[in-house]
Amino acid sequence: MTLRNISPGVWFILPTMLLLAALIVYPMLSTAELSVTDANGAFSGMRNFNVAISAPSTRLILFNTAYYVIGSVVFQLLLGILAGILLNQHFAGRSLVRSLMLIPWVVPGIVAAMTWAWMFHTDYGIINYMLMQVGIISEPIGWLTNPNTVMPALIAVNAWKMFPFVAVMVLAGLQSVPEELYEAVRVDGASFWHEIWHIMLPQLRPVLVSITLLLTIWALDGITIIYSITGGGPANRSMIFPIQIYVQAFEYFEFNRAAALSVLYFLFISVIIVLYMRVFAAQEKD
Amino acid sequence: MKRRTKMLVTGLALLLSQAAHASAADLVWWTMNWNEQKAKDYAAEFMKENPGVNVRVEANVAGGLQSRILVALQSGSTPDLIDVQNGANVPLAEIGKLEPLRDRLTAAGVKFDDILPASLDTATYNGQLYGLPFQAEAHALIYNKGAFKEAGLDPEKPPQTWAEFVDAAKKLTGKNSKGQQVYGYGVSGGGADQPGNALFRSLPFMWMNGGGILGPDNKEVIINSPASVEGVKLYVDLFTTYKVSPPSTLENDSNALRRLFQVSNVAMIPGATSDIERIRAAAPDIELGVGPLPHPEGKDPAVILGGWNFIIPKDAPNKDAAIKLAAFMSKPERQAVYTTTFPAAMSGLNDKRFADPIMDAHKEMLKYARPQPTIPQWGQIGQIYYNHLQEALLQSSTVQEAMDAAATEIKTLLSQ
Repeated sequence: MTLRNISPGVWFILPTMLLLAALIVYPMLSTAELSVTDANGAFSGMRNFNVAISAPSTRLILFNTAYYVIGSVVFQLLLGILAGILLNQHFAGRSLVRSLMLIPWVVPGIVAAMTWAWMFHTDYGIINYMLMQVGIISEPIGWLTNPNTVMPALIAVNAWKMFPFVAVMVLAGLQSVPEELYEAVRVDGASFWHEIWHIMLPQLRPVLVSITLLLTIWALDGITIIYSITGGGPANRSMIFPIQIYVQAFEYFEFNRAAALSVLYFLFISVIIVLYMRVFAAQEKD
Repeated sequence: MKRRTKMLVTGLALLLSQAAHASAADLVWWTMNWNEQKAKDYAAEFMKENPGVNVRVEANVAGGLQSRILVALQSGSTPDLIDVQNGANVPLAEIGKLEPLRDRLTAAGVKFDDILPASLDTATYNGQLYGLPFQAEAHALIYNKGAFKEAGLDPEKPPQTWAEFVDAAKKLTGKNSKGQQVYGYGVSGGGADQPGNALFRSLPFMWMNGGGILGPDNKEVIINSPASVEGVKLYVDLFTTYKVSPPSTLENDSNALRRLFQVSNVAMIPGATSDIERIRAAAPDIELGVGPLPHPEGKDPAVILGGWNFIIPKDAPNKDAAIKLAAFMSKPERQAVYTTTFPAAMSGLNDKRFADPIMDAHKEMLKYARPQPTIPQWGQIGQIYYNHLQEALLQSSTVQEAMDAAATEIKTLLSQ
């Protein structure tokens, strides 16, 4: 194969591939190397992995991560689909509402996290204040200090943050639903709920499949909200893997153990994605 | 082609000339964002006394400071003078990238016998001095005199012993004359600046009782000894048993506690002189009192020595100038201005900035201040202790069980 015979397309993507190789592949290989060496660079085999897996907090962190991801994605989808469907209807001020709905998504993560942390504060937070004023509760609730409420509170913040993205995608997807489908089903006497369940959702399926994958990946990676609000506390009740990796590397300076955790987490996420693609991409082909 | 080449060459030349301009002639000083203006003023003064040296001040934020400095040291392209917390001084020295300073600083005129000995300990590793302390601080008990009066306590007599302390906290807890719920003491069990805040506030309880996390050789783990557990138990009981600490305890760091104090929600908090300044600015109506930290009957108080040191990297391009700048800043009158709390130079305490009698208790506490252990695993040990302290505060385990579990984890860590 001479230089002239190589398709010109290869030359066009070559700069990008080199950049990707430098910025993605090299760090991945470097991390893999760190995970099997010790602090002095000597080969240490599976030792870092053993320490990472056998640490007492690992099981709790795994549970928390699964809880956080599943809870976040479910509520982001529910709220987003609801908002998207509602904003597809015609009513006065619809454009204004559509713009306001984007606010959670565009507010920077840290700003949102700090604000919610102050709102959730047991003693000076506005949420407890309002609930007590109205009489719904008589004692302040320790949203971020009670192990039973800390994860739901964090999931609520994450759902608030990301549902506009789902709403926008759903709204876009709904634009391509032909009007005849609605008319046909209305002629048969269908209610609004039937329209949603039998027309909108099936038509939105491809959009929802891809969004769910994105939301899952973002929830698996997301550090900002939990790190800024509770730091993984109290006592690791809200600790998730990405934060543990960060803390291990940049607060304890144990880069090898953090690398081992990273590799394990990478494999974990890859399994999820492969399974997901198998289940949903296979169904697509039907 | 010719024109393009010319433009390319011009562009390249401009780029290279820029790089050459901001070169090794600049003395780079990494200070903290709250000190940036003072640093710039002193840098200007230094440049006048030393023509030919250009000092460039760059400001850091406290979050992630140690890892930022570590990365700079490892990379080999470092600033010349860095402000660093005294707890991070020895861990950075241990990686072998700091310049030993004693001889060169003595030659530059620094008076080492004027510096607080405990501060010098925070910079000493393997018999060598790797930092120059400029700030030293210790907590004292800050309290609301108005709340004391309402509770029937003598506002001029802050509690001295643990028994008096618990009694006062209980009396202070309740509804005040405005119908507002007040709590006696602020326990720090959560929030953002952790595990540092909780460690600084609870480790002294262990120390005062004769315990601690590690033994004097920093190898023995004594966190679950009876003396240590008794100290931690008092701290935890303030929240769980005596209920003199607010419900938000598990999310309160020092900033949150100070805010609660400012709105009269909490009547006593531990704090430094910088906290006094901030409280006065935010809540001038509160009558402030300061006393030494309460201690067990018949024993001395103890407190962690906080503070900041100057360090000079081994790979710094302008070491001689940096030594001169460090010696320049070490003059007691300059430390007295530059510090946010107290200077490390003991003669600097005579400055009129520290003449306010409200600072007397803090000066007293400096005598009882001990540095934190300076082993590299101390950060992780603090985190382990903090996690288990939270378990005890959550009441998911007793204090003894929590400290036993912490001891096991710390022993595993130290043996790796």
